[in-house]
Amino acid sequence: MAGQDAASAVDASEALLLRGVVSGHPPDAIDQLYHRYAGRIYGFGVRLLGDRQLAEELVQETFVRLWRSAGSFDPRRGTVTAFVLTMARRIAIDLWRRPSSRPFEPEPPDAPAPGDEVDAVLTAVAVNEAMATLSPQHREVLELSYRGDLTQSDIAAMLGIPIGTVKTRSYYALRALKVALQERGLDA
Amino acid sequence: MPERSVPHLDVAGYVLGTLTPAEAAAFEAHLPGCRECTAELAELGSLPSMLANAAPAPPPSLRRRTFEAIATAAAAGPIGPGPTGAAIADGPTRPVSIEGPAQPVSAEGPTRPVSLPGRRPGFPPSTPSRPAPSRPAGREPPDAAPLRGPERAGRGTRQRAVRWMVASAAALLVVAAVGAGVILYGRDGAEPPGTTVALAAVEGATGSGEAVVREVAGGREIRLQVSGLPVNQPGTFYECWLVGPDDAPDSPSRVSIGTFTVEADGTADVVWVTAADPARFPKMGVTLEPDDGDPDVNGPKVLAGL
Repeated sequence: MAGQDAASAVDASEALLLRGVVSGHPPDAIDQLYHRYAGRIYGFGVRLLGDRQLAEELVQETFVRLWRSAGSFDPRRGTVTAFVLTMARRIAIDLWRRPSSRPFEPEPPDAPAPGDEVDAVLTAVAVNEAMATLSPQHREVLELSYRGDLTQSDIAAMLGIPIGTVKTRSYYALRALKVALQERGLDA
Repeated sequence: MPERSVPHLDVAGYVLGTLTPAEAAAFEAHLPGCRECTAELAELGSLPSMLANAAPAPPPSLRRRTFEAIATAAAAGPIGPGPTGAAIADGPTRPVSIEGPAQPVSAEGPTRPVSLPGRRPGFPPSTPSRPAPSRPAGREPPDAAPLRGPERAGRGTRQRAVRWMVASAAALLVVAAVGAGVILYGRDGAEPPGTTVALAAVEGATGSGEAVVREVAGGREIRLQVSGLPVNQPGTFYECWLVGPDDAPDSPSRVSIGTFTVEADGTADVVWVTAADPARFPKMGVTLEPDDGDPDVNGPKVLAGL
């Protein structure tokens, strides 16, 4: 499958970047990884933790830890994406458990920038509100899944649950999201 | 809703792109004969792209703060917990270098790696419950008062760093890393006692702070903790100065200790090392500066030492 080949090519190039973090070649390896993953980890943090500041801490701490432990990446045990997101997820759990963490509250949306299409902004607001109504388990499985760069077995390993549970949970999470969107007038 | 079984359930994995190629092929084979799955595919198919379009974007400044945190960790911590293997086998001199070659910093070379002097036991960070604090980089005007005291090696590095700093944030990061490394050496033994300087808001400003000045190898470590300062507007930072007794607007006599921004709650906790002599520059102050590259004092004073 061509998509799969492309995915493994991406993974091979990212594995090289992880090695580059250790060896210093290329010198901007960690920066390239930042460009690939910061947005993803930040979005994961905002939608999982419900707090932008915690999401920023999540990004910082994930990259500090990635910098430190890039050498422990073993390509036989999974993809770079799984390695990075597993790390981010563990840190997110620590942040979540921190006594000072506020209870989950969906973040207010950014004020629409002038020139933004109002429709797109309103849709994004509704989508994030809809996500916030899901259970944490459903939110999490969708966050990990929706970019299509992890397999269900990757996700099962990250969450420590059977793959059958990932399949069921993904299905009911998508259905729940669909219902929550319809309640907000988005008949996607 | 009745429990569903594979392959019906795989409509979700198919939509999300999380199936293996074999599972995806099996689902595609199943699809034409299953009206339910065909209907669900149509219903659910657009959800992943909606999630992608709605994903919140990180603020641009997060990149700089993240790399500052890495530089701090690189200078302060042992390399890599957990399985040591490659990280250690590759040797202790890992470069901290974040800018690509596309952004040359100076004629001396774009991204001079910071060589970490060997694997060392870590020391507990000052605020263990938080991720590595972002430590703003030190900034020293090229025409600063003559510095006294740093050991030769450290001084060479810092002077080079000062030249780089003019051009790029990457260089600023290098300065931060070097500074943190120096601090580490100072802390290897028992912590020497420090002198505390209280800072208060000048008229028309808000906030307060406290600085602890401590002798360390290579100069003096200054740990500044502030609170109640207004959050920085984009393109501005705070700058901490040691000020001489005869300082005047038209003939300044001051040394920049470093720059910082405050967290969303108006606080900051930063550490710098300076070689400036407090006997010559006995007063401390904090100004709010525009990020214009001009090393002189351009902004209003907000805090002054008591």
